[in-house]
Parts: sequence; structure tokens; C-alpha cells
Amino acid sequence: MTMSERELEQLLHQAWHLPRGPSRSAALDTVFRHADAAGLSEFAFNARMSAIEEFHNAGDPTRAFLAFSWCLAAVDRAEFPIRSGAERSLLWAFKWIVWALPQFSEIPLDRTHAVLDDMQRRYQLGGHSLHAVYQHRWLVAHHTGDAAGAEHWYEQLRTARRDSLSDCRACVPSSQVKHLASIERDEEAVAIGAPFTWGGCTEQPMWMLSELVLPYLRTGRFAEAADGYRRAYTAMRNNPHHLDNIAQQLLFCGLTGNEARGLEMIEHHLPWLDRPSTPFAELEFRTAAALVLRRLRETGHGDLAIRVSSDGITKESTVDAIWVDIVARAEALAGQFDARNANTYQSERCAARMALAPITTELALTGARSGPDPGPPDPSRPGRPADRRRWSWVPWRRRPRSAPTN
Amino acid sequence: LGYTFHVDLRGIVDLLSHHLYASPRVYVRELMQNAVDAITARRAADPQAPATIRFTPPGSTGDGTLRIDDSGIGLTLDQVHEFLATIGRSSKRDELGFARHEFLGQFGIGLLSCFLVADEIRVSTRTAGGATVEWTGYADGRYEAVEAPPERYRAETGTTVTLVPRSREERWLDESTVTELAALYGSMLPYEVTVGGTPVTSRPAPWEKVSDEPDERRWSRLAAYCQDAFGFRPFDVIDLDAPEVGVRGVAFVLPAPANPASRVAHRVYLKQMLLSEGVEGLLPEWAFFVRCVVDTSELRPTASREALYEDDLLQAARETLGERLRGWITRLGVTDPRRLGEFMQIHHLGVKALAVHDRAMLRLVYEWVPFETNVGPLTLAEFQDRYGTVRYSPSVDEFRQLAAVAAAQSLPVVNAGYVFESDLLSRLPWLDPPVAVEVIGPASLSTRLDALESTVELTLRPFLVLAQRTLDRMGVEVLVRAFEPTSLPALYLLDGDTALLNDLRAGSERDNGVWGDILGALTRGRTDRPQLVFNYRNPLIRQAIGLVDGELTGLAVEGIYVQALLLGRQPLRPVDTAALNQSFQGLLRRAMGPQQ
Repeated sequence: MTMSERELEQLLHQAWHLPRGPSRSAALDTVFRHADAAGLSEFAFNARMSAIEEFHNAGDPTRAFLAFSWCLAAVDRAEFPIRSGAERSLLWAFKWIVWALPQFSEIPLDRTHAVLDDMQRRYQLGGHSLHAVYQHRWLVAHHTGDAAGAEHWYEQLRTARRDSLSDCRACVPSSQVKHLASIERDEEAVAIGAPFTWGGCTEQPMWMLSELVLPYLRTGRFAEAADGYRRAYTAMRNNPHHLDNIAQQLLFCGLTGNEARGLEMIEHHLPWLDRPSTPFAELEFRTAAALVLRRLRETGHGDLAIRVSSDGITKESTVDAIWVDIVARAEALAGQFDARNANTYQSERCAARMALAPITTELALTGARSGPDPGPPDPSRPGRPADRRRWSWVPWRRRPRSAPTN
Repeated sequence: LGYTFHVDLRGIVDLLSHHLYASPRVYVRELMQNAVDAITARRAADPQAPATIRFTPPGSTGDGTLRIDDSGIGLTLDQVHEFLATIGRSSKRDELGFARHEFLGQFGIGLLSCFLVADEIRVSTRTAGGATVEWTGYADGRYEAVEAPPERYRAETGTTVTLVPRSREERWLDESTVTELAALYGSMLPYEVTVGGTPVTSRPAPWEKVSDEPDERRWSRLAAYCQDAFGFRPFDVIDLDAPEVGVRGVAFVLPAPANPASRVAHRVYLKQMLLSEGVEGLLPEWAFFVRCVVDTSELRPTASREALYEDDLLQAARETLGERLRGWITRLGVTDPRRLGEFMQIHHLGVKALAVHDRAMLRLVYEWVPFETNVGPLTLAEFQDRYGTVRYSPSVDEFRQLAAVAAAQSLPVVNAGYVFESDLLSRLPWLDPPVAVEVIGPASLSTRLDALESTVELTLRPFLVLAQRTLDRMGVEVLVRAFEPTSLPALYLLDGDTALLNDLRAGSERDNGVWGDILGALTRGRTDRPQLVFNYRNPLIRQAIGLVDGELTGLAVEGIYVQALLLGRQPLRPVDTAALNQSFQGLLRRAMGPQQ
């Protein structure tokens, strides 16, 4: 059957009303197929353009690759007039694409570098700063264990001119914190990251708070790490796009004596691994899960029951049994990345991550404050107001709170 | 040698008026806030002290000024110097190292806001037993502070603030404007506020419980408030007392379904003074089915005092208030199941959002919320009672593809393609007792169609081989099964994953460069293809199987394939259109016989 543009509009409209995830993605795919079949290239282009961001945010980079490459080719063929806004959106989308490419072990590295070169070429052609290009060159180097390359591009990133294609004010430092944390420059990481833990774009503050987990814990900022866990995890626990950040928060649980909470997270997110956003995000989650499960085994809870769901089938298993599975699968995945990267970086990193020793075992994650009085300020949390009432120009407002007389 | 900066107050005032406050109207709120705080402070020591706040509008002062009198604690000369004239300094706060966003809060904002509408502010104030002090501040930053001459001594303890209007801003001081604003911000204040002698306070506030007020009357009072404030008559009213986070108030449940994407704004009072009519983020995001009015003593307003500051305190409050709403839903299930059913009919979306992380709510969803199925709307509990395992499709597209066929095989399927549904269904096994579930998609549907006896299937080999060879270039896999309805010759089954794989393959073939390689890498080792399932119960298929003329079989298979695509609402690619043409013309040619 061939659809008219009007019918396609309706179909597209319906697709956007479905929930983000498999339902909406499948419906969008259907729209593209019908538009292609009807030969409506411009409609197909616009529909795909708006879907690239959707696929990125839905944790579905494979679909983003497909839509992105289709649109890029359409722009180059120029068989219909391209809005200048669309070209710009594609330049922006390069960042999502390059972020995801190295996370698929089946995609050869030289292909990712070819996309980076294409990105740089197009940025230069448009007269844009290479800030974002450097950030993503750094990302790929960092991801593949190229320490010298990572350091080089990090310095380029630090000194390049920011422009409107740069990541948001919280995302750039998030990358920086990732870099610094991986070489254990933790104080510097906290200094750069901590001012940006209250948002910036749709990735934030979950991303920043997750990068800060290790720097916070290793510098003894336990209260910040716990607060970060609460805020970040609540905000992203339904979002498969954040699987790698969720993994960092799971790691937090394993490093702070919160194994019970960690086990709950594993039960909750394990079904996601049927269709992980990327193989690398799966690896991150599995290694963090392996740490939590190992801690449970070490503390004598290896026979604890856990519910494992996969493709809608739920089975009872034990901590011991799934630990074995998860470690084996993590090692296999890391091996695939190593084969692609032609080094042993990911295997070594993952082995070290799974073997991390707890930093504290007594960091409580209790939720709401109890009691009406906030009490004295917590000295470990500078910047936290002791007196939450508003300052004002008249003295009586500074006095202790007194009950209004009704 | 140290120097100090000189600050142009007018510049700061303009900065504030343009960037901090949405409108100069807040000056009335700031004046009332000062007065309320002064009275509260006085009453802490002397509970019997008078408590009045009086606005005297220009019409009564006669000189174009607006006056506000309060019976509060008053200021001494030293305090006047320290507090009315120092802007931007608070040693205590500086030591605490306030975060940057707090910065504006350090200015004497309450006073500054009056400069939005006034060029000159006069304060006359007296503490109990103290001298009368006069302070006059000008918009250019000058001020004078003196002990008043005897003829201007105040008889009463308290403070009078007089505003001399800024030119062209006089309308802000009008009696009608002041009345409106004083009522908006101050109608719930614990002390009487009058404008030109007319009270603007109207108590009791919604969060107040009047002893001896019958439930019925309280309900009517709150429903009327809701109608007035939010424009709807509530389905129900929920008390939100949460002293542990310093919040009290009520939530009103919307009487009709709410769109989770629409703005959810609540009325927030700070110590009984209206902070804003449009505060977002006070409740958890799943609670989009209520609007509330609350009074808080603990939550921090932003510098503009028009929203709440996003901090861990607000987060704690959000969790606690969410807990209250959740408790109300649970209690309703015990005390009035019928009403819970009505509530679920209207607001299932919000409850579903909550149920993803909450097993108790998941059970309520299971018991109460009707789902779309291919055998009509059913609750999951009903579905399980009748059919056992809860089979569901996580995608609306796939559900549509398989609903009718599955129903014909007496295979009930739940459509779990809408918001939160597949998440919820995948968690049903976690209930106690567990509920068995199974995901069903087009590919798994074919495994549920009746297979043929192996001897029969063997006799079909020649047909299958020929059909597969004919359809290879369309990328489909050919099967024969027996299924209902018998009138359906064949079924085209394509699940989302396979469809995506097909798209990736096509993308890889289209592009000879980098992207062709990348898309190709993602399909390597994958063999799944869409399926064309011939129906052995269909007479036409039986006839096609019996054909001895291979060419005719090929034409028939192509025709049946394209028909199955059309029935499945699948788009026709060029290769499919070619098959349609070839089949149609070939069959016509044969039907018309050899050329004369």
C-alpha cells in the first residue's frame, strides 16, 4: 500500500503520542518505511531528523545511526532544499553519534575515526569551533585506553573556544570529570564538577552526579555522593539511555555498604540487558553488578534469592548463580572490546572495577529528614544553609522561628 | 590602602525589576511580609500585643503616597542603620559559604522591591519604650536616619512605611491595585490586613482545620476553594499534613483524566503568604492528577520568591507528599473499593507511573485498571482468571499486527504498548503471589500456530522450495501452518527487531562509504527475516500446493505475498511492486489464454 503525505502526517503524529521506547520507535520506523515507499523524500528527511534526538534520548543508538546516516546522505545529495537549521542539527547530532559509536564492539575503530574526521571537516566548513570535535576525539581515545591521546585531546578541549555547538555548561565539565576521575585526579574533578550538579540539559544532572561518584567517595565526600545517588537515580531510573550512569550509581551501592539497595537495582534493571542501549553500557552495568554481588557473597549472602527476568520470563535464582553468569558475560564483552581495540585495556579496567574494595560500609541512604528541626549545619557539607529561612533587611526575620499565632 | 566600590542603587533596582521579579506587584507582598514578621516577633514576647496591618492608599493620605502601618516590634536607631541601609552583606551567611544562586537573596530585597514603584521610602518606627526613629531612603542610594522631633513621636509601638511614587508608576499604588494585590498575597495571613479600612483577609485557610467544623461543611468549603482557585470541582480532597518537612495543605484530585505532559502548577504559601500560584515540582512527577495548595515554613523560595528552590529539602518534601497521596490511594482501596475503581478509571496513568517502582500500587493496577486486549477491555486480574498466563505485546504496532489473528486462534493478548504498560506487565511476576506473563510478538505468534503433521509437511516440500526460491529476493522466510480464519491465505509476520534489521541491511546496501560499513557491522551474524506463513486450511493455498505448473505456482505465490503485505498494512518497496506487477500480468495473460 502507498500512503499519501496526509496519511503519513497522521501516522507520524500518532507515533509521537506513543510512549518513548519500543512502541514509539517501531511506529516511527513504520512511518519512515511508508514514506520511503511512497517516494516522499523530503517528508522522510524531516521525520527522520526529528527522530534522531528521540532515538538518542530513548537509548536506541542503532536507530539513531540509521536515521542520521540517511539524513547525512540526503543533505550531501541535496535533491531537495535543506533548511539551514537542519544542517546545524546534523552537526549537533554528530556528537550523539560519536558518543555511541565506540560503545559497539562490532564497529571497527577506523570507521569511528572516519566519522570523527567527517565531523571535523563539516565543522570547519561551517566555521564552527572544534571544541565539540576535540571533546569527542578525547572521548574515543579515553574509551579505547589511549592515555596519551586522551590527555592530548583533553588539553585541546580545555583551551578551545566554546561556541553554540559545544555541549552545555554541565556536560563539558562532566566529560572533564570522567577524564580526571579515571586518572584519579579526584580533588580537581570535584572542583570542576561540583558547581554543575543542578542541571543544564536533559542529560543533567544525572550524568554529572554519576561521573562524580568515584571522586566524591575517594575524597571522603560521602554525604555528597549519597545525595547524588538519590537525585540522579530517581531522575533516571526509568530511562534506558542512562544505563551507563545507572551503572555508576550501582557501583556507588557496592562501594558504600548499600548492597541491599544494589540488589534491588540489579533485579530492576537486569531485564534491560535483553536490549541494552549499547554493549558498552551493558558492560558497565554488569561490572558494577558483579561488584555488588561479590560483596554480597563476601558478607555471607551468596544464597540469597533474586528474581531474574528476561524477555518476559521470570526465574528465581541466587546471588551466587547470577554472579557467575554476570562475571562471565562481562569478561566476554570486555574481550570483544579488546579485540576491536587491539589492546587489553577494557579487560583490565573491568577486572579492576569488579575487584574494587568498599570505601565505606556505613553510608546510610535514608530518604526524608525526620523531625521538623534541621539541626546544626553538617560540617562535611559546606554550602548547606544552617538557617533555611530567608535573609532580610529587618532583624526580626533572623530570629528563631516562632509559631504564628492563629 | 583599601577602597570600596560605589554602587548605583538605581542601577541595581532596574536590574532587579528587569531580571529578578516578574512584575513590580511583589512590592505589596514584601511590605506585608515585613509587617507580619514584625508582629510575629512582637507577639513571641507579648502574646496579647495588637496585630494589625493597615494600608492607607493615596486617596486617603491625600499627598499621593501609600502608607502601611503595622503594630509590630519596631526598630531602634542602631537597627535602622544596620538593617535598612546595608545591602548585600550578611557576615553570618558569608561564613557559611552560600552557593552562588543564593547571592541575590543577600540583598535587602524586601526593601529594594519598593524602589520598583517608589522614588522615596520613609520609615517611622518605634520599639516598645524606645524613641521614634525616622529613616528616609532615596532611589539614588542616599539615606537619612534620625531620631524624630517631638512633634512626630509615635504614640504606638510599630512601624509606618510611606512610599512616594516613582513617576509613571503611580498606578501600582492605587487603592484598587493595592487591594487586589494585598488580597492575592495576604488573604490567608494570620493577622488582619486592611486596605483603606476594608479587610482583605479571609480565613480559615484551606490547610486549617477548624475544630467543631463538620466534615461535610469542610468538604464544601474546600471544594468551593478548589473551584475558585483551580477551576474544577474536585473528585476528592486529600490532607497533606507533613510537619516533618514543614508543609501543610490539601490536594485536590482532578475529576477528569489529566495529561501527564501538561503543566502541573500548585499554589504555595510561605508562612501563610502567597509565594506563587504556579509552583511546579512540588509533587513527584507521577502525581499529575492533583493540584494542591500548601503552606510551608521550611522550603526555600528562590531569590525572586516566585518559585521553590530545588534542593534536598524540596526533594524530601516531594517524597513525603507523594507518600501521603499514595497512602490515600491505598486507604481508598480498603475503605471504598468502588470509589477506588472510579478513581483508577480516571487516573490510571498516574497510578501506573507510580506502580513501576511500587509493588503495592502494581497490585492495584493489576486489580483495577482495564487494559486493551484483543478480546475486549479487561483488567489484568480478570485476564489472568480467564486465561492464565498474561500474554502481552509491548508495542502498539505489533499488537495491531497480531491482534486479529491471535484472537482467531483463541489466543488472548494484552496491548501493553502505551505509557508504562510493558514495564508494569514485566513486573507482574514480582507480585505475591506471582502472576505469570509472556511477551508475544509477530515472530513468536508463528510458533503458536498449528504445525502440520510431519508426513503432510514432507509432501509440501516441493511447493515450499519453489515458494522460497520465488520470494528470496523479497527477503522473507516461507512457512506453512494451519490457522484460523480459513479465509486468510497467508500471514505476513514482521516484528520490530527484524524490521529494524531489515532497515539496517538496506541502509548498508545503499551506502558504499563509512556508513555502509558501520550499518553492515551491526547486522553481521543476524539471519532473522520476516515470515510469510501460508495457511494450510485455506482452499486457495491447498489448490496452489496441488499445482503442477511451476510457473503458475510462482505467480500465485507472488500474488499471495503482496496481498499479505497489504493486509498487514506494510509499505510496498520497489521489489514488492515489481512482484505485484509480474504476478498480476502473468495471471491475466494465463487467464486470457494463448494469443489469437
